[in-house]
Amino acid sequence: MIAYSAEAKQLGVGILYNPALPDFLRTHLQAVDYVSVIPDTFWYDQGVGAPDRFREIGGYVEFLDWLAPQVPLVVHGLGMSIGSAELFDLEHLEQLRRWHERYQFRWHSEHLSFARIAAEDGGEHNAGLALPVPYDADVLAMIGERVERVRETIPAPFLLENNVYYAAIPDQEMTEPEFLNRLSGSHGCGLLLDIHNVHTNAINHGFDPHKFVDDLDLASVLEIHIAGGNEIAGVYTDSHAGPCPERVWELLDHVTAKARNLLGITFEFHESYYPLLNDEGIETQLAQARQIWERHHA
Amino acid sequence: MSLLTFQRALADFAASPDLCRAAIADPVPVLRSYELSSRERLRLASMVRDRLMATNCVLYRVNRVTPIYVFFPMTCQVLGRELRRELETFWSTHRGTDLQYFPETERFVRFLKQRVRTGELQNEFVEEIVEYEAAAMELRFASSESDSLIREVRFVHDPARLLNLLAESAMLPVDLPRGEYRVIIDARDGEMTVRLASTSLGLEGKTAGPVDRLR
Repeated sequence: MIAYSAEAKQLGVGILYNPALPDFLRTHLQAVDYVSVIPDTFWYDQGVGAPDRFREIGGYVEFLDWLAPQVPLVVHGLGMSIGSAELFDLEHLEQLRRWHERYQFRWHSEHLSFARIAAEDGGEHNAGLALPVPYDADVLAMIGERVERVRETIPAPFLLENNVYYAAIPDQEMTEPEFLNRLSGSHGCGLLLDIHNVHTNAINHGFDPHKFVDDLDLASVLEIHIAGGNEIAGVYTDSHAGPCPERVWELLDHVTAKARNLLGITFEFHESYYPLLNDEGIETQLAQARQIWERHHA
Repeated sequence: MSLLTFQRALADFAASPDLCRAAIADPVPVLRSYELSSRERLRLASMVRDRLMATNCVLYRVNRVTPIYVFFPMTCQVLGRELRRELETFWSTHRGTDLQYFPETERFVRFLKQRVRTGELQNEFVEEIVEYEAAAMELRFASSESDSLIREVRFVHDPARLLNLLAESAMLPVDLPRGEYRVIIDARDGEMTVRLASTSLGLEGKTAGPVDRLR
């Protein structure tokens, strides 16, 4: 089953929205071909079953309403927690569908991980960070079923992002590329290949990032994320700390040349690093990504 | 059930370096409290010994401290050396996070005020500063169309001096003038301004001077 991109349009180079960006976007909108947004940061989620559950944050949504008519938007979700055992939130999915109708997002993506945990009292709590799922057959079946549910609900390509992980889960039934290939091959989701996640995992777990991406079915890669990172307590982390390292650019060039269905390259940084980048720094990162995009996809 | 229990255990380890240390010292009793398959027990026993489990613990803390540090920098400043203790107590008594900035910081504000009320936290500045920053945060997220864009916060120390000292990251003197002050935070013009309200203390019309422009 390969259904992830037949009708989707190539966009080019985009940026992941964060609260430091409104001024940049008001003055440099021509620097991006699309904007990726995390819908969960535009509302307060008052919890499953709560009346008026998704309370929108007025000031944030006003900016999105300004942005939407001017530039294509795509979704990079945080709240689905598609890897959570015994928890798949249909109210949240319905909220994404409502927002899709409202903003006509070009595609949706989510993280291949879990953060929400079903609690014994019927509620839930949050792990406080995205944690990896085991690459086992039963987990593949669980996530595959959910991917199909998302695709039935939202009429747009749905992508899952390869995870960054620190303590590795041993004795898994599949490698990460095998797991990702089966998800896209059998369940029709695209892959959001986060190159900085690959770079971070390669450093911390000692594998060859080029071999990792070459083991993937790169025809399923519809979006690429690029970012920077830094060391925290002696470990390289995916902190989105400003400009991309050189090895991320090399890997981006390598993958972009082979990912024939690629729709866009998204630069992401954490808002707290805006003073390091400034508008000029953001423009430089976007221009470098555009050079690579145009070399292979113009 | 087993995958769910595995995820609960993994999240417990990420949230608690103490639990990791206990499992490294002797995994059997720690893991016995979770209903796990033998493969999951072996996986978790290996993961807690992985040096990168410490990174999970650090990231858990970074993710939880970020909204507090971003929106309550002056509260962090007035807590000073007490900050670490208060955060650890908050995290150990409020495991339920959802990583949403507003609810997480609301919980922290309620926690701090309760700690002051019960006398477990003795800090003469924290209550007014946490109220002030909570009001400013509300205004940052408010809609210009449907929400009130003005807030009033009561201070018991001279707010102009207190806020300016904090803005300069200066030490707070023990003899800061005390009184009853009402501070108005006003976001109606698109930017937040801060001024003293008319009070019964003869300060009518007086503004807070250098702290007029909050951001």
